[in-house]
Amino acid sequence: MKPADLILLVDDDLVDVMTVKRAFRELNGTNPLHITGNGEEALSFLNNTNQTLPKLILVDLNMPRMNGIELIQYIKNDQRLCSIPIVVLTTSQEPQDIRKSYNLSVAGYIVKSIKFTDFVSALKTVYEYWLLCEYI
Amino acid sequence: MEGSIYHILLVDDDEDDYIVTRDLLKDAERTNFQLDWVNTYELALATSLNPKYAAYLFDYRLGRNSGLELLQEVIQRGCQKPIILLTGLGDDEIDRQAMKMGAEDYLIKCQIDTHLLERSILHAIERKQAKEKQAELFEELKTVNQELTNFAYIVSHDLKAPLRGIASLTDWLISDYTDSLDESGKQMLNLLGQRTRRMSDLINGILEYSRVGRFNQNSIMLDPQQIIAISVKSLDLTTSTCVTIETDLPKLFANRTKIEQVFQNLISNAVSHNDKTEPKIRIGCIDAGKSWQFYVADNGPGIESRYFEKIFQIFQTLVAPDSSNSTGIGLAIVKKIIESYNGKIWVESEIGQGATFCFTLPKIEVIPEEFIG
Repeated sequence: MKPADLILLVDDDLVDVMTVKRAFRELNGTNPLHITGNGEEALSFLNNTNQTLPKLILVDLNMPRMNGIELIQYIKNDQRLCSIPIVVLTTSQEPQDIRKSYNLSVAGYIVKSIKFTDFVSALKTVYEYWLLCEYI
Repeated sequence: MEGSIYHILLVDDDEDDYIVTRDLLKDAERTNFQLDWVNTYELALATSLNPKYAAYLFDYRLGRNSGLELLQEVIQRGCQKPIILLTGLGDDEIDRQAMKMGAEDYLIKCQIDTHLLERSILHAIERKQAKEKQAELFEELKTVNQELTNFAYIVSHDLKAPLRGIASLTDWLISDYTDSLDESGKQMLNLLGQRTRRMSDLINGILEYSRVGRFNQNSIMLDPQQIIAISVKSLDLTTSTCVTIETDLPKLFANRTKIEQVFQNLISNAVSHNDKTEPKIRIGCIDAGKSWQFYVADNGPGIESRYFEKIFQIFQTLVAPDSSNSTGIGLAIVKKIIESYNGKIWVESEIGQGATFCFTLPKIEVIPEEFIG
């Protein structure tokens, strides 16, 4: 991923979206961030062929209409989308959610910390890691 | 049941047997039976799901087919009513098979009299009803358990998400509006931040507590010595803290995570409430007959006897929340784990004399073969 590549954030919680945006500002991340509020919105964005595809997807699990797991399932079954790395950003520490996510080959599973500074440092690690990674 | 009629279906290819059975049931004094008769496998299948029948009698020999085949087929098709197998000759093997396939009883024709047949049918109906009731209760229990599991999950996500929002907004108010706040305003925001973090700890505690007994139930042979070493390491204790194991510790057959949680919570409890500059923790085990009795003793301030029960209750702490990080979940988790192994836990203490937490775990009677050696 390069500093100009698009990142897709799928999260329904306004404050959580603000948190990610703020954290990105603190990291001096320049990547454009596209935000969708649930799985269905994310899919219609990803399925729009006029749109460049994101190089990284950050997804919350618990969302209305189509939840994170359903969205990941769909993406991983789609030839065009399945190679985009997905990192789960969620509140859930439930072993079953973690297992389900890794069974669907997510690239990471990060629990949103209640402390903003902890959240920023987690996001920093994720972001810097993907800046290092080669992509297709 | 006085007055009510029990409809019974007999499946037998021999009409004479039908007449004999009919006459036997006619003589029944306690019950009013109405016996219907079909003589082929096919007819039996067609009639067997008729809800009017309270019970079925199948002859073992049905032309080309056996009564056992019919039994299997009928049960597979969803027949919930009791089925009794009748046979000309006594055969323990058929008896065993019939019971395994779900027959309620197995009667030898030449031994049947009115009394035996009546009793067999009535008992079969009763047993079947009891089984149904049991299955119903089991289903109910399963549903309630599932609801409880879901509840813990909903608590985790649905309460944590808005709470994290409050915490973030508080942090941002502090960092973005520092200049426009006076000391009192800053203090309030700091308290607000503290309270939200505490609530988050409590919610995590509920989750952790509810998770005991839900995941990773598999047991293995464990060396408590090793588990204590790992627990001590993970607690990141100060160098002045001294943890000693005083006796040999027996191997345990239990779930690793659970036993780790027990020692980790007890040791961390002994350290965090300790008021000495050199906290000392002694761990050991004595033989208490049918069970092992472990102890974790500290040189801390001790606990008044009136709190001996209370400290094991969920969310009960002996210090004000603002002066400690303890949520009151640790000992509740330990108690839940020990009790899940049919053990007991208690505390012995006097003010100023330190506290000793004791728990028992039943000795392993039979170690599963794959764990020997």
